[in-house]
Amino acid sequence: MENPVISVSNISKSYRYYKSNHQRLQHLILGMNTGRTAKVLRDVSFEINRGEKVGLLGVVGSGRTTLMEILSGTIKPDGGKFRINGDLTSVMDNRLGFDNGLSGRENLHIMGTILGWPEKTISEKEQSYIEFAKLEKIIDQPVKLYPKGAAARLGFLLNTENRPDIMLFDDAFSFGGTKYDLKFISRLQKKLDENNTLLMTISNISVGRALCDRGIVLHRGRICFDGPYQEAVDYFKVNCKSRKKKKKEKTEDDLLNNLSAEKENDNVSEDNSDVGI
Amino acid sequence: MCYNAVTMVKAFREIIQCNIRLFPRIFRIAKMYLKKKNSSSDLGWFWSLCKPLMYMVMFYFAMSMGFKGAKDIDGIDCPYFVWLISGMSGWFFISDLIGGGPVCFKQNKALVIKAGYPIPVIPMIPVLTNLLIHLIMVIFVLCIAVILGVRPSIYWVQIPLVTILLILFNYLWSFMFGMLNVVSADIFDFIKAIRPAFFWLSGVLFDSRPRHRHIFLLNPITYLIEGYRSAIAFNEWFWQRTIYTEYFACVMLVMLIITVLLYKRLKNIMAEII
Repeated sequence: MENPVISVSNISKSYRYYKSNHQRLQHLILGMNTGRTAKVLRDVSFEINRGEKVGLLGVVGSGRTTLMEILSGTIKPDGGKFRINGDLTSVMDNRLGFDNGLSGRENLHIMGTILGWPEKTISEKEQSYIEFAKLEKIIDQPVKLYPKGAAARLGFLLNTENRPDIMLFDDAFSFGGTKYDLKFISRLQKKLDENNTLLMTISNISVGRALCDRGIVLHRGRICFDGPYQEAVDYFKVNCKSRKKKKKEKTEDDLLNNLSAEKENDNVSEDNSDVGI
Repeated sequence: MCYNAVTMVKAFREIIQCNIRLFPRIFRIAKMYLKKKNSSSDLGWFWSLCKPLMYMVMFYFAMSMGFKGAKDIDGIDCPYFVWLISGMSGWFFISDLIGGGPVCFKQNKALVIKAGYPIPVIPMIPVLTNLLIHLIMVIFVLCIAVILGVRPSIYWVQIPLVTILLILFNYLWSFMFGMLNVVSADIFDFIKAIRPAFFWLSGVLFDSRPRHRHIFLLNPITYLIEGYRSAIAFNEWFWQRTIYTEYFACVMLVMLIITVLLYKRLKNIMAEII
């Protein structure tokens, strides 16, 4: 029997929303039961074995980021248990600690420090990162002047330099264009072997297809599909739509129905008129 | 009751352990933030020191010329300027953190939410960032004192002790009000409102000893400021003023208990509520 590296059992999580600061204060300091709770995760259970590459699919608000935050240890679940068996690196933000007023080079050093890298190592790697991210010309300019996704390239390189047993990625694959996306994904593919486990949230289905072999569909805080990646994508496309999207589609359907009904009426009246004539 | 005491001790131990374990990394982050603070101008470090020095000189002229008798301080063994700057160097360290400490969690929320740093180390970042400037300031004050004819004495050895007390006070202040500020933004407005009182009732600018001494010493900052003055200007041991030492210890203990209680209550939900 295989020994799972990530084991999640009946995890649930709620967030509390308050109508006013007064309510918030009453709950947080005095422990009173004010505000209302919204369940984000409901009895989520799954296991991931060593070497598996898993994509988490779900609409916005389905609980993917919350699940990633729980697994990376930044927030605590209300109930259930999880176990991580191995070294874990979680990439929750490719621009961790970045200051838009500072240059890319300075931000690289700040982020390296936050991640616990020795100064010497950051200096050694600096030039190769800049070249790989194609930022030679703008690296000493303030980050606020960078094109979209450029700063994230630097952060991603720093985040993925080490090769831990388990990697968690939350919305970390947007590098400012398909050309860069492909380049960075292929770099990550080369780094991952059969001993590395990957769990990532999927915001771009093609990125997931390149990296993942298994897909878990999370919908309204529950796992509703767990299987091969492509099947998960198919299931997701058919069964999971956000309320907003459903509402939009319903409005569009209603509109189309109304239009076709009107058209039919027109046809009928035209027919009638023909008959009348 | 017993259970509460045990969990409080555990929380306290956790705070200490986190700070010891991550101290080298936090120290590097603080250095990096200091560099960041000064990176927008070519003479960054110079401006960090220039501002407090200008204040010291300005207050010297204002107090010595504008206030009759302000320079007459009983029992000092040094020029008035040395007495003034020895106290002001401590005040600048506290002043930066009275306002800057309580926003530490909001300013560094990425470290808590995205990087998973333990909560107790976050308030140490602004303290260490300001400590580096403070240490330069203290060395500067000692140099000025020597230039103006003050001879180094055995009492100077208490300066590191006062600095440690300042670090502890600033850390507890930043931690306690930082957590409260996350819960309610009113706390920050409250601190801004009482900040002038801390300054004017600390005896930084004038001698608090002759009259209404008890009122001044109710402010714990006075005790710390007088700590530096005891070493440099009065040639006495600051802990000899027993009743005030006890009072200051009580204030620190109360702050510590409130901090530990808040930490115990908020540590699991901090990343959600920032």
